[in-house]
Amino acid sequence: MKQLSDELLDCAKKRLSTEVSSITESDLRRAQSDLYYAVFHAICSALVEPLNAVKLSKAFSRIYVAIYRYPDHGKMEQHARKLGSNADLPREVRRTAQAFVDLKNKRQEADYNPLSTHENSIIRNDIQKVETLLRDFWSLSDEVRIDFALQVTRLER
Amino acid sequence: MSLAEMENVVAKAFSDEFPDAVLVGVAVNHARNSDGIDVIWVDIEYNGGSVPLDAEKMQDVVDVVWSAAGDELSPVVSFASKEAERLEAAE
Repeated sequence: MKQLSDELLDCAKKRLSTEVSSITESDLRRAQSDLYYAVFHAICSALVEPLNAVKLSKAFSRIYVAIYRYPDHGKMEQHARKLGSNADLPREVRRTAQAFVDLKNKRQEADYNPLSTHENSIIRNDIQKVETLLRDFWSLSDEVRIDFALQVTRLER
Repeated sequence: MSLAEMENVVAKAFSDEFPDAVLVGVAVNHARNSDGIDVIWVDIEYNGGSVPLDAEKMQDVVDVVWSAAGDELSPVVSFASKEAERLEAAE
């Protein structure tokens, strides 16, 4: 089954897949936002991954959603900044943390700064980066991926 | 490291990773985001090369930026093809 993070990456690609002349400023802004949420939801998915939920009881659903929704964007940036510069971590983990910081700030500009400008080539380069990053993220061992999700969200203290 | 010194470090890293592209300019600016976190915006403009660039090589440049930024700043790195933007604007 396709992950929500992969679908968000596809959304960003689709927004930029039409003729260049028909791509609007809002397409570029929404694509930038999609890319951030692709990485954000990949981390949230990794958090609930060990629950291996298929059929959920009402009580289980509440816990599942509570954990999925636990991550706080601003706190995650602070923790991701530390993880991104920690040379002891695997390269893929460090780069996921770096990309999270990068995309979070770009998404804030895209969604909240009406004066910011957005260029097609920047977002195409970001799509390429996120595609490679998500492939590497899901190729990590479960243990490493979940450990990263716990560290960046500080769900485990 | 000052922002001007960082511009030089980033320019060298980009030229090393993408010898087929011509670096037009590097701009490094400091700002504070809405979460109160200090951010440096690193904008790299180039001609030639490809769009998209090779993701691994872009990440190598990003690694250099993170090393130069230290622990106190959140780096945001953008790679913009001026040539692609010009061609697209002319379409």
